[in-house]
Amino acid sequence: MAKKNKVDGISLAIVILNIAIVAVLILLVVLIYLYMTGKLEPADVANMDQPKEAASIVTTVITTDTVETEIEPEEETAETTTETEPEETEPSGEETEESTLTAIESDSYDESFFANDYFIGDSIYTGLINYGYFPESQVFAQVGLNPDSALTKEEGGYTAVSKAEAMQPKRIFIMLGSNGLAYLGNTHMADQMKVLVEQLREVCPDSYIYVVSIPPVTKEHDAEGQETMVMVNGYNKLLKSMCEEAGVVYLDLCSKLEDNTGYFSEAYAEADGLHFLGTAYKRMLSFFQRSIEL
Amino acid sequence: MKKKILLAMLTAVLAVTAASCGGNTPASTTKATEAPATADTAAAEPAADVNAADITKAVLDEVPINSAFEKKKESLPDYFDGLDVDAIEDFSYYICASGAYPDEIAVFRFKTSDNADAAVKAVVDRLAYQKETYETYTPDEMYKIDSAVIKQTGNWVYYLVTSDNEKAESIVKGFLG
Repeated sequence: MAKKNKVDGISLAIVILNIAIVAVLILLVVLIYLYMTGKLEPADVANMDQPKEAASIVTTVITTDTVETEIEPEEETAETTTETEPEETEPSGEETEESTLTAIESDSYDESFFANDYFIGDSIYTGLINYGYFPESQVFAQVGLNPDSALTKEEGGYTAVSKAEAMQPKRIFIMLGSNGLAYLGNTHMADQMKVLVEQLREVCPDSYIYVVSIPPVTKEHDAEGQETMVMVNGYNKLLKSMCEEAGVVYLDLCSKLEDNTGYFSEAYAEADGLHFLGTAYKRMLSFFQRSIEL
Repeated sequence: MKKKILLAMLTAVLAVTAASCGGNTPASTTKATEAPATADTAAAEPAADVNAADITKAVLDEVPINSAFEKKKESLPDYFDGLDVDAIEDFSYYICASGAYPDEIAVFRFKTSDNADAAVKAVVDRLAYQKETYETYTPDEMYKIDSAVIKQTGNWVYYLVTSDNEKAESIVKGFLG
């Protein structure tokens, strides 16, 4: 009898131990799931240890008909920027038959208009070379480039800035940030874009500088959580504010590539929901030309 | 008895959880060891009336590339550093122009087999560049690069980075032997 009680006691301890281990495993699985789906970003994890430098905490409440977004203001230390994260919004997700038709407004542009212009961007801008829109001499583009790496990365012995200095273009178009959405802070990226603009302005004092919004993502890409329209819109608003401060022109390409649901129009989106089809480049160049000529 | 059953169930749950975690190996790592890129040479000479465009078209029909775009001869040095374009008699080169995927297919016929020998290095360098570019950018796409094919057969050199390189190569071999 005494032996049986001892066995039961050991069994009970093992049961409790097992329950505890399973609970820890479930918690880990949940955390990994949240991290993989983008609901828990590296910045959030970092901010747990650094509450005084916490980024904006965005709480999104999705109801059946509407999406409400609540934003808590940033708490800044003396070392951090005084900029605050702008309001971030999600697309409506309601599609209409007119969505594609609205998106395809115009794709005509004059090649000679851009003959002395220079483009800085990521893999999306490699398409300018790949599709033959411009020669390599007019483009500094690399797969994975972001506002941080654009300051230092080299291609053919040039950085983005030194290539601009050598070229002395009439106009400079910069579109960067899509690659940093998942792991660089939006404020940091906008700050780095400002540094890039200032460096370009210093070496190319006669060039007109245009900062281009990053493009939208498709609804399917958004659902994967890596890059979402909330992130895209949040960064673009910061970018617009930076342009106003720096005195350069902000070009809202993003809205020109969206369908009526607020996501990347399928007429322009590559299968991954992030990159451009060939049609999107024509749309972009047409928009640039019309914006500048107006 | 109930406690023993519960204990057994919990132990089973733990075992299953541990097993599933242990088996979650990244696909790219597995692919890398299973199907390494190759850079082989072969001596067989294909039929004289074969042209590069027919070969790439046949491959693309069976193994499509997103945003496939055919590049012109003058742009080849932008992609194949050191390639002697004057030594090329015939070629066809498609890339994924959107930059989203590393896919590309190139088939070259050179004036001499020595020219083809020399060109292999430029193609190998191109693959190395693609690998460096995409391994951190889209790790899920690395299986295409890790199983890429670079082969020379007589005056011909072909280069395949697709979603099914084995199938693509079998199609090329149907033309070039």
